[in-house]
Amino acid sequence: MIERCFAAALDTPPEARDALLDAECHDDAARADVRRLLARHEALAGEADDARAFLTALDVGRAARLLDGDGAADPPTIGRYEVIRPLGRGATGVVYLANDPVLRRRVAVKLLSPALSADVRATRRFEQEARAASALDHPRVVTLHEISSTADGRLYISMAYHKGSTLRERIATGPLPIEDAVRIAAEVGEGLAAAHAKGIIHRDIKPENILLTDRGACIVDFGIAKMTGELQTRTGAALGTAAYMSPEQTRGADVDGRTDIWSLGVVLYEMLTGARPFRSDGGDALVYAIRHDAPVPVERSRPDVPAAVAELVGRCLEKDPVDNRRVRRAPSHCRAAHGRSPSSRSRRRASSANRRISRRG
Amino acid sequence: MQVSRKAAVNEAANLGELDDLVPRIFDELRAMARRQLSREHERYTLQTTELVHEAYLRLVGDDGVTRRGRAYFYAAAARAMRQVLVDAARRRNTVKRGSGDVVLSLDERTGDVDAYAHELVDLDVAMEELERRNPRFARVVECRFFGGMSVEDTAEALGVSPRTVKSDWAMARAWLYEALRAGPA
Repeated sequence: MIERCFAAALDTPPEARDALLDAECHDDAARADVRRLLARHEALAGEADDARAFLTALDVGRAARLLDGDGAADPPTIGRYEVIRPLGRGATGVVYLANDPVLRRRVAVKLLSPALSADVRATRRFEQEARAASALDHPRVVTLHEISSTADGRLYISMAYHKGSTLRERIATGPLPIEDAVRIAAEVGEGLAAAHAKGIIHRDIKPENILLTDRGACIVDFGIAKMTGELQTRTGAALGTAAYMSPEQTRGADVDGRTDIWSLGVVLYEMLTGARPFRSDGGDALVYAIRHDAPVPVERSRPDVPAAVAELVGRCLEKDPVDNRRVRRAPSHCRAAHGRSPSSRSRRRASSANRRISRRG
Repeated sequence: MQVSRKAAVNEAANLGELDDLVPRIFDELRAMARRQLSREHERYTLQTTELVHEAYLRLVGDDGVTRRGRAYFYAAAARAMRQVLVDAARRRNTVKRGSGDVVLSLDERTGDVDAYAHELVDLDVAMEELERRNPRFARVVECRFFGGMSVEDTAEALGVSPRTVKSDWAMARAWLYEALRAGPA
């Protein structure tokens, strides 16, 4: 049995192992297996951090967050809304498709996790943010209807329901056609411009927060990121991935609209290549890469990306927003980069002949 | 009743006899893990071992329980922990992984709960395969990883020597690393 051979070899000093295995282990294949596993065992005790950290301790913090809000059955009603089915689950809570019996229309209702709902300071902050966000009335931003709490203290937000999927689901099937990627980026850019004009920063632009509907791209979750950011700071626990955070966000500095443009740059990169510009095993290494490393050039993963589009990505990912090198007016830059109007429906019928790259300003 | 539960725990000759306790441990662990999240801590200081010990005190209590009984409870709690987390992880996995995603280490503090959920499900599947090859290996991984149990407690619970636990753990961990990271040999 290879377990016995392995156990015996483990007790033997490395230099004597070969001899022991030859003696104990008669089957060639089994001996090879044991040797391989022994080598792996030595490696796991060795230098490489990620190998050594493998399966050493359950991360109770993340386990707790995984459980937060889970298990409780989906409620039949939330406030006055009648729950139809879940649409998706995220770090902050669950989004349900629901029916509004008063206004007789379908809505999406986001039910915030118990932890977020219980955090009183975050709640007050959240209401402030939601109030501001609800003042946004723009085709590229999902309209908020109501914010309230259930009888057992769970916060919820009702918003317009748009049939479609998230950009995350679309990217999961592979990189997008260049035209689509640029169009979506331009549409998101338009929504951001409207928000920024009212002094509202999203802070959590990522594919999960971009809906693809029959009317184009739509941004969700304005007003949530700031609240969850507060909770993160106080508990020392990161609630989401840092992959879309700007360098200034990773430093906890005050942010403005340019931080959203950075995140949009990451999203555009990911739409074009299917991967993110800064890759690492996460944690400190990822934050370092965001702050200091140059991204793997788009053209390397996708040679057919036009130079202007690659340049646009590069300018969104300028590390220092202060220098104003980072793109300010994303929609017009997207238009210029791809020579077409982002909200024009004629793009659907446009042939590839239209793919001239001309700077129209 | 507390007294009969102590007796059951003391007399359990194998893990199967504590199966009826597992759902209670399950609920207790979930509630405790959730309470963790709503505490305003600067850092998460609770370890799995403390979580399991707390469940033990709540459900059984310390007096009149043998060391072996306590070890059996811990092993049952480890199994419950695995069930709790894997169930939650499966429910969470509504989003497909994109290409080029980096596989994260199972205890890296990146905060990406969705990636963690995927990792746990992958681990669970790999452990089922491991169980087919050697059931004791799977028990050891449950105890050591999901339960945070010491080598001695694991040995006590499974009725083997600490040396066996160490060797089993080394081999199981190497095997799982290959299954989860390195791909088929």
